[in-house]
Amino acid sequence: MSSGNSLCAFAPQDNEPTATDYATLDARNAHPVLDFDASTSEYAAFTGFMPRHYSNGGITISMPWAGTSGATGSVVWGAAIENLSTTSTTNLDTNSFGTATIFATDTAPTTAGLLAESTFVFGATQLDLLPTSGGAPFRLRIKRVATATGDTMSGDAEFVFCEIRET
Amino acid sequence: MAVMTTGQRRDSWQELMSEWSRERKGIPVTKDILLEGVDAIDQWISDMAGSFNSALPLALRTALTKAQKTELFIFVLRRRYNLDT
Repeated sequence: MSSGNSLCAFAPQDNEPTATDYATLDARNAHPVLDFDASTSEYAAFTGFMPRHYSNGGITISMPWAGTSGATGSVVWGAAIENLSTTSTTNLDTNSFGTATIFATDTAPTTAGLLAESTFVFGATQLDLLPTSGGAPFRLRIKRVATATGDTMSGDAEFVFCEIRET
Repeated sequence: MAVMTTGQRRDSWQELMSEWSRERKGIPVTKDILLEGVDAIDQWISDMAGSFNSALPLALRTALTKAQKTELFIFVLRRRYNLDT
C-alpha cells in the first residue's frame, strides 16, 4: 500500500469504554463526540483490523478534536497500540499496549466547537509487534493526559474522529 | 473562617469545569488561571466573612444561622447579576 493511504478510521461510537476513567459519549449539535475530562486523565479504546494491504510501514493517526468550552491553552493527547493477533502474547484479561505511547500537545481552537487536529506518528517498531503483513486485529488507546503540565485547556476536550494511514 | 483545603478547592474547580462543559459555557482562561480564581475567591470569602456579618442588620444577624445567611447572600448575588435563569 502506498504511503499516505488510509488503513482504517474510528468514530466516537466505536469506543469500547474502559472500566474506569473512560471518556464519555456525548453529542454536539447531533455530532457524536467523546468528552475527555480536564482534571482526570481519561481513555478511549478502539478495536480495529489492520488491512491485508498494510505493508509494514509506520502509521500516522490524525485526530480532529474540539474544546467543549475552553478556547485557550493546550491539550496533551497520548496514543498507544495493542497487538491482538494470535502471534502476540496478549491475554484479553490484561491490557498490554506497547511501550510506545506517542504524545501530541496541541493548542485549542480560539472558539469552542471549532476543530483542531492532533497527529501521532508511530514508527514500524512502535506498533507492539503487529504482524508485518497486515491482517491483524489491534486496539488503539487514546488518552487525554489531563494531569500533564502542558495540558492547560479548561473544560472537556471532544474527540470527533480519527484516521489511521500508512506513513 | 478557615479557607477550604487544597483538595476541596480542587474538587470545586473540577466540578465547575464539568458543569460549564455540560452547559457548553465558554471558558476563556486556562485551567491554572481558573484554579487561581477559585483560590482567590475562597480566600476573599474567608477574609471578608466578618465584614459581611457585621453589615447585616442586628436582628437578622442574630436570628439567622450561618447556613441561612449564606443562602441569603447567594440569593441576593444571583439576583443582582441576573443569574436566576
